[in-house]
Amino acid sequence: MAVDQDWTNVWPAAATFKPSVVPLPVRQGYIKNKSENDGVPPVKHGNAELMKIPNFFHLTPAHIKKQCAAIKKFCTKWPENLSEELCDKLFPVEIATSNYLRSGSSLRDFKARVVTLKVKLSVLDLDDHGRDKMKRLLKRRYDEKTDTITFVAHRCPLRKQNYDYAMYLLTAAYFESCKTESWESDKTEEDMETYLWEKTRARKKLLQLLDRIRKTSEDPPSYLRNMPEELPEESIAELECVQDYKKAMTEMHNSQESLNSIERYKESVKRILGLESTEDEKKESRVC
Amino acid sequence: MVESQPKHTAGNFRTDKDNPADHTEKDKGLFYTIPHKIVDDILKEGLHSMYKQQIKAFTETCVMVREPALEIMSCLKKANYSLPPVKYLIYGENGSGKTMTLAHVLHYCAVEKWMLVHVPWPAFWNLFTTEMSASVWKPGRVDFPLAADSWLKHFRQQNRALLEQLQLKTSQKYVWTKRESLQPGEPLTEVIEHGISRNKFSSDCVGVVLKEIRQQAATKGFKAVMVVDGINAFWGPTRVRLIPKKYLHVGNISLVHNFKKMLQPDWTNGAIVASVDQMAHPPAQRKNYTPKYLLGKWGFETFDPFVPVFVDKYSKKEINRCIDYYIDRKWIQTENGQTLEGRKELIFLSNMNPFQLYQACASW
Repeated sequence: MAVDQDWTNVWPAAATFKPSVVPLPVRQGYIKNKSENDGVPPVKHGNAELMKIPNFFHLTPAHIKKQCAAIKKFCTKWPENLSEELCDKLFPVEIATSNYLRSGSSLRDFKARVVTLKVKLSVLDLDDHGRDKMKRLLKRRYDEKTDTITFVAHRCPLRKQNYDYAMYLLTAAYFESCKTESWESDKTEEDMETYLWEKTRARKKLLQLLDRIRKTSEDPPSYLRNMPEELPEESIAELECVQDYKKAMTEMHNSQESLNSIERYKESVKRILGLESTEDEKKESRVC
Repeated sequence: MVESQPKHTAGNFRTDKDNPADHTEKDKGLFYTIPHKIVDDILKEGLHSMYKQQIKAFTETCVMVREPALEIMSCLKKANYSLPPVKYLIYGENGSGKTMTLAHVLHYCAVEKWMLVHVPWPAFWNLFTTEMSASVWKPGRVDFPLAADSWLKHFRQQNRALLEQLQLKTSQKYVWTKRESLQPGEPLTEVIEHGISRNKFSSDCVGVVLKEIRQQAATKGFKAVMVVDGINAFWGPTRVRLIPKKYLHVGNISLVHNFKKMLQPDWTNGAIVASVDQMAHPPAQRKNYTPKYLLGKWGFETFDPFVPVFVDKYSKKEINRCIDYYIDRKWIQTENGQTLEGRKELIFLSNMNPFQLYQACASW
């Protein structure tokens, strides 16, 4: 093929791979060991694998350009001030449907009934509980990264029915997440979606430990020694180093565990147990 | 073809301070020698097999003084021992030096005459135990007689001198069977001997020994340290099959249960130095090396609060010292290995990982 020839004319429509027409030295095929075909994948001539797989030589950028140029005269101009953000604000719900033209005894394709509904969770008016319940109800239909809910409706035979069904799903999920059922109060620590230190067993354990130290140890750390005897166990939670520990634990559990969050946890534990490095020790470690 | 490349003159890579209690920040990156007797009596069980081969090849046991060990030792020196034991957790990538840090700390505790409760690799119990029996003490639990027996022997070997010196006595009556029992005031070594001679009760004897240590550490004036390599095995999966397709739950192993009791804050005058190791988990659960992931929810809740200590890969200074040491010990034998270019290539191949460096140097 000449280098300046127009590829869109050489390959105008979808066709099986023709080795003599495609000017690329492609190879395709799995070689188990070096004895087969000298250890290299087979060439394109008479290559059944290349013929079996679909190719997109009919949809190169040059083709797309030509096709767009042909369709352009039927299009109207995009509204001038309609930006992406305005689109998201004015048209929050996105409905996607596909139209098919079949060449067979009937023009109709059953795949045309599929309706995809996409909407962002942030658009819906929900409080914290509602948002968490929505995520639990939707499971895989909710995408954390893009904050998008996707409903794919294909169980009804007609497109209109599937559209109505998708809208019904959205409505039902929304109103269910607004409600709070009585059994939701049975939520245990294992079911919690975020780490709330106030509700964990770890908090109780730490307070018990510090209370025990305060009452039984001969030489408790200074912050416990300065506490009056009569104060209950709960008041230990108000202390500054315990609050620091709470922050470090919450950070470590709620975000991905990283070396930095572990270091902060370490500093807070050292402070609680009276092991913090003095200024001299810090200077020494910096010198060496 | 390398022709007369400049040779790197080795700097000083050894420190003459052989007592870990004397090690300071100035000794960072330098190697200190451990006498053979201490290695054989105390440290051998806890060392990797490849390192033991290295000891044989180099005819000496040298450990590099590094930041994590120094940090733990300084905390051990200044900790308040009237409080429940502080838990230190060593974590790091594979091959970064966690076991060596534990060996350094264990040596320090041995020199300072602490009671050593050393569990070299509990994951071994989870994965490879075949001999087990139903627990005599608690129905539903499973004993590992041979594992407990070998641990008692290991404990006796490590603490021989200290046990002779302290002459610890039992504080209460222990009944093994209708005819066998131990009165209070009997020597603790009797319990150890009983566990070794009668394997049926070895797991329970381990429990008794640990209980007595916890109770008497404060009153008898000795400090006890529990050193565990791969403590995440205490809360991990097992491969011990009870019936087809059902594996024993690690909470039902009496040996593990007894060691976990040491983690409770009901005793004083002690410390716990442990490491979490990816290798203690099956291959599917080794995605990360951080404490929370390896301990799991149950393990983290039980072990918290602890001081995590990070063991990083070698720094530039440390890796150069290590290569100097290998050249001195003739581990790096080729001419190319001793040049600057060879050194750069070794550093690149190993990616500053201590174990990878050892393996990369093997063919140089």
